[in-house]
Amino acid sequence: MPAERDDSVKLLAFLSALCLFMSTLEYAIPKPLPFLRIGLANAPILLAFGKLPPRRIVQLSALKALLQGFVSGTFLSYVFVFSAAGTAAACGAMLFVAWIGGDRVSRVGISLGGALASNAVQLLLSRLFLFGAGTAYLAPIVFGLGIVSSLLLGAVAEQAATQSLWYRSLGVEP
Amino acid sequence: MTEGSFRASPGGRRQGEEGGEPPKRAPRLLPRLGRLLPKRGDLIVLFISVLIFAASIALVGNERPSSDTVTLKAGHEEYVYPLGEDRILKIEGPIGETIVKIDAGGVRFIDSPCRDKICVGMGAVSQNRQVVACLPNKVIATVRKSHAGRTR
Repeated sequence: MPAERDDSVKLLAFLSALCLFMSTLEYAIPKPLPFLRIGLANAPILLAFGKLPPRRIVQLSALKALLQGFVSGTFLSYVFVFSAAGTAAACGAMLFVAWIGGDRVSRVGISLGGALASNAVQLLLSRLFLFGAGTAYLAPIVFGLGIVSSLLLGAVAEQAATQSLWYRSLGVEP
Repeated sequence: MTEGSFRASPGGRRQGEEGGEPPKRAPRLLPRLGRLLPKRGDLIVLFISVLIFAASIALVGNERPSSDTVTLKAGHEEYVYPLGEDRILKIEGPIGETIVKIDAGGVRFIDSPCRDKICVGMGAVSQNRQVVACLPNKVIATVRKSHAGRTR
């Protein structure tokens, strides 16, 4: 295995483990509604930007969805389908924002874009398969909390990425 | 930052003239705070997010019933009950029976077959557009008031 690929695989494994840890933390935090998560498990994905290539970020997102399903006990339930669809949409949106924004966007914008896409897809699925038109009543709560939590998470991730010596020491560049 | 580099800065000379100890943190804090400022791309994404959030509020706020009601959604079925008449309802969902109580101008779930009972723990809601939901059993209750600012 080439050295660069070896490094990125190691970092992918490490960040996946961090996702598992964050998912466990998140599971312990009380939620007013099951799908209203802070999104702590997305922090390692935000940290992957600038360190891993897009292909690895997609792999990390897939692993995050899987591990989150294991931790919360929702794997193979409809909740997991919602969560996985949200994660897939968020991953696509984050990569798109990072690609189109370049140096003009930080992890704050990437986080906001991911939350927006994830919430939009989950509300759409909810409208199609769960609550029909009544989903509209949930939309303001979901989007509002999504903006606040993703702003905070993005700011913390950006601060960690620019200030942390540990983050710099990871040493892999896409 | 080393002591030598601090002395070379304009701020260092000024502190020296006053004869006091130079503040050690100020030169380090400023760049850190500067990194917290959002970039232009961040502001654009934030603007789009807030726009969609505002649109979702406008969408919900358009309809207003003629009297105070509770809308109960069970799967694809929808039922509307007056908020002023006390009653207990048994709603059948995919994992069992959710028991909903309308009383004192509010609505709450008093029992549900879901694992975490988050819906039961939410207690009663009585204000316009407030929602109680049991996602595992696909039951959602929404309060609709005829006057926006009215509260109990």
